[in-house]
Amino acid sequence: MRRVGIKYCGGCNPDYDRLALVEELKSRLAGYVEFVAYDAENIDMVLAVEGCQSACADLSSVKNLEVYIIKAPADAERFISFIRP
Amino acid sequence: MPLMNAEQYEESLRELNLVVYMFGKRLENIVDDPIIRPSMAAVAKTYEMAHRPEHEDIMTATSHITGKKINRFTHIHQSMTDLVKKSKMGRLLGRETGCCFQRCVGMDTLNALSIVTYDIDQEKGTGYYQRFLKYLEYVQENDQTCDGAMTDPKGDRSLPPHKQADPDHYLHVVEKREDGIIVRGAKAHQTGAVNSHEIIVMPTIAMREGDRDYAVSFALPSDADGIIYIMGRQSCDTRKLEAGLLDRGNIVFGGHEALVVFDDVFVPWQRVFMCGEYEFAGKLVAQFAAYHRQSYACKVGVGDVLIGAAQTAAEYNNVAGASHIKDKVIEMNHLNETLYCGCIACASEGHKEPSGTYAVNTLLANVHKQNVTRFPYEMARLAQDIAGGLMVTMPSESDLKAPETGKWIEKYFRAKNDVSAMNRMRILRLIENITLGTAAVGYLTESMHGAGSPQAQRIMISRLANMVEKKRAAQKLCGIEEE
Repeated sequence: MRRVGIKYCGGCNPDYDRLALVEELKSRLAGYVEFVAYDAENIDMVLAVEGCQSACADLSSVKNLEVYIIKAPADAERFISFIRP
Repeated sequence: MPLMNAEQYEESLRELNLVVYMFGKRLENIVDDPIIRPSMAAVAKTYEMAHRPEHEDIMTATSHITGKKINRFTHIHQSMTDLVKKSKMGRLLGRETGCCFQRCVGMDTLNALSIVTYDIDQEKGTGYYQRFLKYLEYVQENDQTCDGAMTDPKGDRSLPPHKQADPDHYLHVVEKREDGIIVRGAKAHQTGAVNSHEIIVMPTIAMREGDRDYAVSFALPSDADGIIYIMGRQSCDTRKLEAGLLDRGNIVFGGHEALVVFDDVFVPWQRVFMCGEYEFAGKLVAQFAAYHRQSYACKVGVGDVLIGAAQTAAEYNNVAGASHIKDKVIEMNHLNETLYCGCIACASEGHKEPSGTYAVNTLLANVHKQNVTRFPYEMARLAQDIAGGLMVTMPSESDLKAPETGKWIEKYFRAKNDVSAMNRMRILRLIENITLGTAAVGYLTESMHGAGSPQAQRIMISRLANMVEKKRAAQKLCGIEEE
């Protein structure tokens, strides 16, 4: 099971409910992914949950890790396919 | 504790011994006072959201002096990204609270002082900057809420500070001692003053040599001996003393302002950041004003709430599809996003000052604030247009809940069948709150006069607009040769 760290943007004016989307991901990827905070230890990759297309989350602290960026709900479907082909 | 949470913030306020008067009486319990408490809740939100993963990217920053994670409200901007995030934070918090959350003024004061204390030292060989950094570390380490106190009562506006009939109409130094200074005067319109741990005083205008005693900047604990707070009134403020919440409109949050009197208050030298350097008073005012004009990003967030309320009211009345209603909502969004453009633009076009602090583009910050003096008024007009007259004629929550009258209110003020009269009243009270109730202090009149009245921005626009380049471009295109 992969440990995926979640890094949110600041959510100043998000186009969708980021928290609800992550809850859905947790539910649909149960058994495949353990979601943790982005600054947790021993994570395999980072999921950047951006509220809009400007995708301004500061990813400098995770630059050595693989980062998958979600900017809209459709990206979440692609992330599910990426994890669970 | 670099990142307090909301509960710790509230407890920290209880430890203060502020001298606060309201309605002619001294308050014994400020934190739980029903009129003040919603404003405390708005500041507490700035602490709570800093702990939320979904907001920490905006609400926190890394201290450039300690490397620790701190609340952005105590941060000195280290890049244009920091400046942009400040604007985004304003919108976010404005939308979450629907009111003034009071903490931006302290952030703007800290940033302005980080620039000007350095500049004074470079020219005068003083030691203000290191003194300021030590103070800043205290603010960051203890996650303090600071009130930036600029506006003096000013007395006769045609006279400089030292020529006022009452010398205390501008705050000034009345005695210099070996261990510090004694100051006397007052600061008006102090937003969030009694929710603050610290009061940071600055001069309010550019000064000349005769005003040397008035060119003073310092920080004090908000409960220092000799500081007295007299609370300002707000339209509909005593609704917060009534039973029930509906008639407040915003049932959780609010703002407040106070007159802050300094009655011969002692300030130790280690908390003095300017004392007599009158040549730098104008620069400190201008630098603070530019940052604070950017801070009116918060009105975009409150505007988001007002637009959402107007749209909800239209849907409750089942008129949201009418073309003129749709057009009014479009216009509200156009105005609101135009405001957002300004606060993002002045941040994106920022620059690095010699101290290392990033400053906003002053011209664009002034243009943004000039728009803020106008657009919220038009948005309020449109919201009231969409809401309808019931917003100001409907009965109270008590009438809705009374058996004798409630049945009639429920019968006659229900609009769409699936919307209760109570919910219709709730959304109309929120529009009332923002456009003519307690929150209108922040959304309208503060938009007009806060961070400087409209004419102050027009003066800056006149000074800063690049007229030479504009004339050159025009003359070249029509064939005028340089004379």
